[in-house]
Amino acid sequence: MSDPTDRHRPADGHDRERGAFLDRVRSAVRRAAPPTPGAIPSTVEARAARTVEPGGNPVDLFQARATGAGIHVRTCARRDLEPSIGAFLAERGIRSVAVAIGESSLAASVDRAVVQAGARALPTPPGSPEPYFNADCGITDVSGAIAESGTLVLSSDRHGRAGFMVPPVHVALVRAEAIVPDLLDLWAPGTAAPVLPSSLVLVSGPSKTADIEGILVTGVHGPREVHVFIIQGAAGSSAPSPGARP
Amino acid sequence: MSRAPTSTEPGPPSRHAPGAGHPSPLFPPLPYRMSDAAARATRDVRLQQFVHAATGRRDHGRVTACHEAFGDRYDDLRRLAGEIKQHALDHLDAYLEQFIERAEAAGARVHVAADAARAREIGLEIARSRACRLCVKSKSMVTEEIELVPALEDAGIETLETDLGEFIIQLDHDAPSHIVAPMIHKDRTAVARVFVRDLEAEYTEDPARLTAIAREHMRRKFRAADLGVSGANFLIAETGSLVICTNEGNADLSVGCPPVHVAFVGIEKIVPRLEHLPPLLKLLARSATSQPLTIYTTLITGPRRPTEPHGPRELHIVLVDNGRTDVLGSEARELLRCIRCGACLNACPVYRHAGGGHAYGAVYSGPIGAVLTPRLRGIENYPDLPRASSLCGACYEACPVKIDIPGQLVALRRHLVRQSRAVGGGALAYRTWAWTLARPSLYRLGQRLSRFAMRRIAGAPTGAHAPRDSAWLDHGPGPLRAWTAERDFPVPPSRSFREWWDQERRR
Repeated sequence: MSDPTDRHRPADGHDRERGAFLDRVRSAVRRAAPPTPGAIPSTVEARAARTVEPGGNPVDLFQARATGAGIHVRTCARRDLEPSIGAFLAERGIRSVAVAIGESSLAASVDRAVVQAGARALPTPPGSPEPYFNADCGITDVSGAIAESGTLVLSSDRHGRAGFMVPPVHVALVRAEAIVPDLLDLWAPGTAAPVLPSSLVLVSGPSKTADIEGILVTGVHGPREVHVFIIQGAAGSSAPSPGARP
Repeated sequence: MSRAPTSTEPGPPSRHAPGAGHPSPLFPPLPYRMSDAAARATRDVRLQQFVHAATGRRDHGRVTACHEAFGDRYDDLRRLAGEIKQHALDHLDAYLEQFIERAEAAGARVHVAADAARAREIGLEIARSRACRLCVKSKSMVTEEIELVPALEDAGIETLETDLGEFIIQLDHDAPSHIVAPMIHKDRTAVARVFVRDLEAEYTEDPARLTAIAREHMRRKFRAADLGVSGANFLIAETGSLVICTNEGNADLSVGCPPVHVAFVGIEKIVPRLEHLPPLLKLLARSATSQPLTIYTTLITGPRRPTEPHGPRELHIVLVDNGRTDVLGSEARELLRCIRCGACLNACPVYRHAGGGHAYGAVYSGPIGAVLTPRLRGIENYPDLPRASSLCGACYEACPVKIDIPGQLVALRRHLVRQSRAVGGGALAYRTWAWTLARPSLYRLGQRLSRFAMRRIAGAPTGAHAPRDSAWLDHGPGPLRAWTAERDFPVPPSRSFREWWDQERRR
């Protein structure tokens, strides 16, 4: 739908251009149409694509794959989360933290841990990612996690876009029950797609490049280090658990 | 970065202006003959070493990663991925319409560009109307194709490539030579020199320190930029989403920090549903860089929502045709399945020996480039590319969406032959050949003469110095010299089979 106040392109010119464009596509599609139109391929029975079977222990697999990708993984019980985070911040000498946590009870624990460690939680008013450029560390929870590839799922509506991209260190809190075995489990095939946020990022390691002579370097633009705390045990909160399906 | 000229001083020549400054190896004068560039590359030992090492490593990595993950289901998965993309192409009009509707419902503005000029025009319109001064962009083949960066810079918009390899290439007025690893033809000393010259950095050859220099430089730009440009690896019709895959995270910062995001995407990137994405993602990263997924796989659906803390206020998606509908409506439709993984480049012996992408003289190089470029830019402009292959089929074995590249090379060669048969010496030669073949006695006479001549060239036709019946001709005079320079031809025997048969039967 064109913006009626856009004076650079009158509405009907815009529609004409779009109509002509789609007509060209349509006639090309018909010109070389296959003799029998194919049905839409289904991934419901996509045995070929699945690399991790359901069941088993996704937490252990997640730990192995994430570690292989350069992510530092620790597990702790829910009640030990606050002291664990506090100890982590203190031993790394982290002074300023940007927090972007969707689940409110986790957010409260982290805020206390930051204070305990003598660090500062930077104010991050909505509007600009600028404050994140001054943080030593970004702490987020996740909207899901995938064992197959040691992947974290971050959504702009719960975590913004900067907390896990801008500071040089990213700490991610992952509830063990949120870890699904395979990428195929993130979006159930055969059902309609969920409503997506403006940015959904699957993060599978620290930022990497091998552009210079094929030599691997981390921390190019995104974080140099990613640390995951897998929280095992009772949820103990009334906020929705960060499962794979919103 | 180059600055736009003011009205009182001559500015630096735009590096892509035809004939001015540094012409790009990806936009050479046409028609383009590949043999000179390839011959030079085969003599450049360092280039050969780099390209061999880089492509060999990646090809091996792909095979290992895919076999470990999929085992004997690898071929089935490639077939599924190929079917998904083919289905999207066979219904591209319907899926494009769905994509546009869903993307706009999510708050994006969708533009259409029939060709490169229109795409540049749209980009410039958006940039000028928002008074953009600084643009940060992530790697996108389509933006190379439409020559967006020179157009932005000529309009006075400082434009920064944020992918590390592309950034270095931009600073050095060079061009990418591989669709996934743009600077496989450059080494660390070249990078060090460029950084000293253009970033006033200390000389260092350590890749980690070089990367840190680039990171600092670019973070200042991310914070100050008012325009972010990207491509997309996929478009999802069902949700109106863009999918962008990087390992550096430069795309997320390029499109997430500035207030305006413009994405240029070829129409063939469409995938019908979100559920089709995982099989394609699993193959893309393993085929390109032996990873299960790229480090950052981002789905962008509309601009920032009112409830979200940051992100661009505006998202513009420019759907680009630029010759794709010609390919779509031809026998070569399957070429548009390409997901730009680079696996065929890594597998191809010709690509390796030709020293990488520059020898192909176009944005798309390697096996996919050899079949796509003539179709997009005209076969008369790139007649060498379909011939730059031994049809070994390594590309077909590597392709995650099972594009029959050897078949498409043969189809193009058929076109070339038809063209050459239609005019001048080729037409005369074919007519003479057909005329001779229709007259058996003439054919037999011609055979006897040519046997005599070939044996004369190889030695003497008869007698003590005649070549043995199993001899080879490895250098010929005159017109045969070029052909026999790299090939041996078997010397015809002293008697033809018919003569031998007649003589033996009489015994």
